[in-house]
Amino acid sequence: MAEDKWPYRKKARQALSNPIFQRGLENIQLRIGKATLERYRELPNIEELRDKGREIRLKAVDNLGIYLQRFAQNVERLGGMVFFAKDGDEAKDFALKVCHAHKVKRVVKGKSMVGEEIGINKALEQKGIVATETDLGEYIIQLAGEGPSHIIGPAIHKSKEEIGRLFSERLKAPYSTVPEELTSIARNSLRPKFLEADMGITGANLAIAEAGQVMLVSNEGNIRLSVTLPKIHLVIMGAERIVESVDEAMLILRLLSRAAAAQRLATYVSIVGPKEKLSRDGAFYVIVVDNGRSKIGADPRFKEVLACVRCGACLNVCPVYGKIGGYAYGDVYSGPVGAVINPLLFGIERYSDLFFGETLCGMCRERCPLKIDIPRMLLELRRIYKEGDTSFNILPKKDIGYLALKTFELYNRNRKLTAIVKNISKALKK
Amino acid sequence: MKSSNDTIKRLFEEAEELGVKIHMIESYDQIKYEIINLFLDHPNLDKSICVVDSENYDTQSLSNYLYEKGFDLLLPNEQVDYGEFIENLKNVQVGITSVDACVGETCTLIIRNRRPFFREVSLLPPVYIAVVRQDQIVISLDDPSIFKELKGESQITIKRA
Repeated sequence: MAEDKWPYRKKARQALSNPIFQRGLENIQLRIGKATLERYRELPNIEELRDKGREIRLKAVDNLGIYLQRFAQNVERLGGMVFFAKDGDEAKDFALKVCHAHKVKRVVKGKSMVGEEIGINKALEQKGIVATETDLGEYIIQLAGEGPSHIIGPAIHKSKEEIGRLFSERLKAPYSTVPEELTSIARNSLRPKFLEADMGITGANLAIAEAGQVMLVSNEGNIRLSVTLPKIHLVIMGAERIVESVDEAMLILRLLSRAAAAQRLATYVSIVGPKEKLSRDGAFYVIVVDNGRSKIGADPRFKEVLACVRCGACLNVCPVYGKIGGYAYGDVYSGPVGAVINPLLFGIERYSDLFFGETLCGMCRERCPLKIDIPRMLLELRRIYKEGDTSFNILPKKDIGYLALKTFELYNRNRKLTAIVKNISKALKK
Repeated sequence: MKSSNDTIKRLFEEAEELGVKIHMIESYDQIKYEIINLFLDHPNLDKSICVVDSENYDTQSLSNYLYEKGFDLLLPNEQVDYGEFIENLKNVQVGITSVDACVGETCTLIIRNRRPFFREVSLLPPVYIAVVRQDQIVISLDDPSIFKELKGESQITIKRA
């Protein structure tokens, strides 16, 4: 049975007709998109750093199995536990078992893309566990019952007036549109939740194989509080988010901070593992989620996308994302990288509009701190969609467009062939 | 190791951009006067402070002095009940710890959690004082001395001031 097409065009039209969203998108692209470049230029050896970062991440993608195993051994040596989940259901089941074992009733969450991907909040709610998002943007969209519209700025589609009304209705706070006051309302509402929580759930910006620890990066201090105050720390990470050593993590961190938020360094960076939790009779768990990643990693055409560290730099320069925003790309990953990841993880047929919708201008590759070649992969997805691919169960589409494309290719190939023959004959005549 | 003048200069520039106040002092003994001045500058702060044990200052002498000056003191030790400690820390206005390194180019503090409470004290109170020796200031995160001890044995906390 054919999968339902993701309503890309409908969602794009909705975004285009929403002036608040348009202003938010313009603002983030003007502000961070431009500033990222300036931050890159501050470092005299930036190209060398980017090449090195790329090398580190590609090496990790090529050695995922080895590094993950080493990571798990080190976490367990330090007293923590690692669970490898083949899909979202296994990950959620394990998370619920952990909650059950520790009688967890209240959870505070740091921003986690893979948590969104597997729908962890819903799974917790169904078991009567209250999960509170603590990243300000995530908290806003959780209160509004919406999904993230940007990897780094999940609530950029909301105006301060909308947030003021939301806080007033949901938190019974006095209506305000002053950003500092809104932040203060959120802080006052969240602070007791940190103190009462039985468990903190975070993602991992990177897991460090040799240390058995995870690196967590944030600008609001919420992730650090989520990790520090509750007794139990549960990390839910994508299987690709690993590096071999602390030095490698530090190099990626420098690139990540500049690329994600045009900062020299993010405000809060924590490298944590089981040790601290065990010293307080707590526990430390890591769920490593595959959910299709090992298939991508085994495919030489697409494994490069697993090097992505979700900085969002490609979103901040993409002319398409800049107009249609995050919701058009699906529920979790957006922008150029989402146009590659979503089809690979959730269905090429269903998400085909995403890779046909991008312009192939190459700005994403230019601005990516790791120079990930997104346009090449978008083209590859287009080719697979048209020509078919057994590994993805895609049948060729022999429509008029496909036949025209094939004829054009044949013509082009023949022209080249004709030119080669002509050159050889000329050379022989001489 | 002595930090170069350029590194210190860079730290001051970055701190100014971020609105962070840096006070250079000649001896550890001067920390207590800096704390008193802080409270004089911010009369709305309650006189409560959490002092975490450190090799960068004499905790006993500092806490005795502050006690004599009428401060409510929170002095965590490893025997303290964690929940009770957090309950008390919620109401404290100022936290003071030493740090293991400071990065000049980003005005960033590095804390290794060899002892408990450092992270909590740098997060919960509204005002945080970090004490760093001049020789602990490095120019960038590239400095290998920052991470040499890390390999699962200690956790690391990086806080941009």
